[in-house]
Amino acid sequence: MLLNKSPRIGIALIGIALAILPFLIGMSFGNAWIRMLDFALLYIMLALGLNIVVGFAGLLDLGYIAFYAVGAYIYALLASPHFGLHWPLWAILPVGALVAGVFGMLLGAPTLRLRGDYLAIVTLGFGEIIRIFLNNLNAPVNITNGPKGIAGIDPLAKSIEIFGYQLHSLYLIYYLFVALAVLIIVVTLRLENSRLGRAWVAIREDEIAAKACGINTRNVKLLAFALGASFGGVAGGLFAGFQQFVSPESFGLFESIMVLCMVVLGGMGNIPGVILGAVVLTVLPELFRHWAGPMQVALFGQTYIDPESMRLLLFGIALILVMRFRPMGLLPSARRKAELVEHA
Amino acid sequence: MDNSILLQICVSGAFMGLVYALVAYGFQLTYATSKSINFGQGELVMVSAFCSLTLLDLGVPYWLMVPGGLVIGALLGLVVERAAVRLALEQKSEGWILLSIIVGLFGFSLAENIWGRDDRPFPTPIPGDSFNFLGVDITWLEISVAVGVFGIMGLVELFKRRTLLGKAFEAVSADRDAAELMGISATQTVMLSYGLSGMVAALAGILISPITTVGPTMAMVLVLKAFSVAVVAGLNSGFGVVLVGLVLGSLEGLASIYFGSGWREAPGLILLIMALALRPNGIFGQATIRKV
Repeated sequence: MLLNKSPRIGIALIGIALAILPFLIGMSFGNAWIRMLDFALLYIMLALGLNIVVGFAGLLDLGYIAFYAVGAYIYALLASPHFGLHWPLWAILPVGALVAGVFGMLLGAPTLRLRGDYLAIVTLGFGEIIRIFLNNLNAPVNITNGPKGIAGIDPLAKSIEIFGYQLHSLYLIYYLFVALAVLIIVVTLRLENSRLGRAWVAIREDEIAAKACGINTRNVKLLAFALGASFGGVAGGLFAGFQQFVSPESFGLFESIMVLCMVVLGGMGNIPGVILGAVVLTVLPELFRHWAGPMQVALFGQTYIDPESMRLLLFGIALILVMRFRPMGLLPSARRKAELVEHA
Repeated sequence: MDNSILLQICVSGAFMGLVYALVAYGFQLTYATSKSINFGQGELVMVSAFCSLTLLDLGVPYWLMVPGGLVIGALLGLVVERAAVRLALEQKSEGWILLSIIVGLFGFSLAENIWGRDDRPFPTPIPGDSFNFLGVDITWLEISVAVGVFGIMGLVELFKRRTLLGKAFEAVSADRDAAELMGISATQTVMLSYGLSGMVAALAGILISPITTVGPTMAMVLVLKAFSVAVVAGLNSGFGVVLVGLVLGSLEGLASIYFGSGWREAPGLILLIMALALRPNGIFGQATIRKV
């Protein structure tokens, strides 16, 4: 209500809440939870990027994590002792976004004619190819350092001291991530109802009709892939700087599916829904990891199921339940909702 | 490199390729009726292989284990159908394809909890020694793979062509709505296809496990190759998968010799993307005409 009446006050309130959130969490639960908060923000960026491809343009992408990987490796190569380069963050992120965008087009170009399951398989294969290359480009010229990955990457931020108070680097990273996430949210919000955004929806609904209306489907599709990928590239760069270590292992199929689940669970094509999906799927499993083990010990006296696998089991059950009872996601997109009624 | 060694690598690879073709055949069976791909096929292979191994551990003789494993595979296929596919087909939203992946991951984590993460050998009464055929060494295990693959594919095709149930299967594949008007239950036919597909997957697991080993990770490796085979050949190509499987298997062998074992997975994926760019319906697939 407040938001509708006076958007400025609403925005200010959200701003203040975001600003003090890490302190609240940090004081009450410790730094590990701020780390998780940072990850949630990273996943929001990733999920919003994938939402452009899957949610807006309706192109099912199961290899999205490849662009995250490209962004991460660009950061790792340009800011680590591996090549002796130490570029600043602001120079790397645009490069990462650009290169990831080019990779997005590389994936998009051969798959223009595909839809649905076929597209899903090809994108899945593309994601795996990128991972195979990362794993094997250490000979004859060592570019990616193979399965060992690249370590010692320059950190995003160092702890600083303000008024005699030691501010942990996690807080600074949090603010950086919030700033970029807000930027990405604003960009996607503006895209959604732009000419391009409407063209994406048109393609999703009926490609032939869209073409007949004069939409250049090829370019519009390629733009969806490129833009989605470049968001992934930015998030990947941030991930590399945040972890200070990248290896091909972090970019498996499971990660791609996780991001896709965030989009589908939250509500495809709906920005608040996708954000919710990303937060829920980052926070819940983490809570689980902390409590599932001890709880089993308390209840049954020993751990029957390894919390890590149980996470996956519950994850599957949760997803099946959501699909059964809220097939359009937790916060469905208004446009998609209308569409479902028509189809039935 | 010596030509005879290259030939040997190609032939051994080709036998592995037959197993990929069999897994790909499983994709085809379910794609025909439900028009959606079961992304959990690899886990079906893996879980049924583990179940068969457990049967052997319980003291069931090998030749009784094989039909037992096939029944388990068919049941697992039905579980996948009920848990994921039927729900996903009811939705108009394409994002739910991922439900079959989730069921697959579910199976993966179940297998890790029940049987552990390590690869285990799969005992078999078929001797592992080889004989020389036209200058190439062929093992009896490889012969068993070929017999099994062609045997089950032949049987399933016979079933599809000669029995009433099989004809219902073909009818639903050709036109679901028209088949329903003729009194064929499409839902039951989709169930049938998942049962058959699970059976095929189980046999693939039983055939390949003695050569490789059984482990939770085999699912992912197999499913990626089977994807490539199925899509390169075309999802409605019938026996086209066999040819593509043979070629892919030998290419993989060559890639790992020339570029190192890390590149073993690459040819399949590169072939996949190339084939889709040039012939989106696969080499042997018929183009589907989309009516507006």
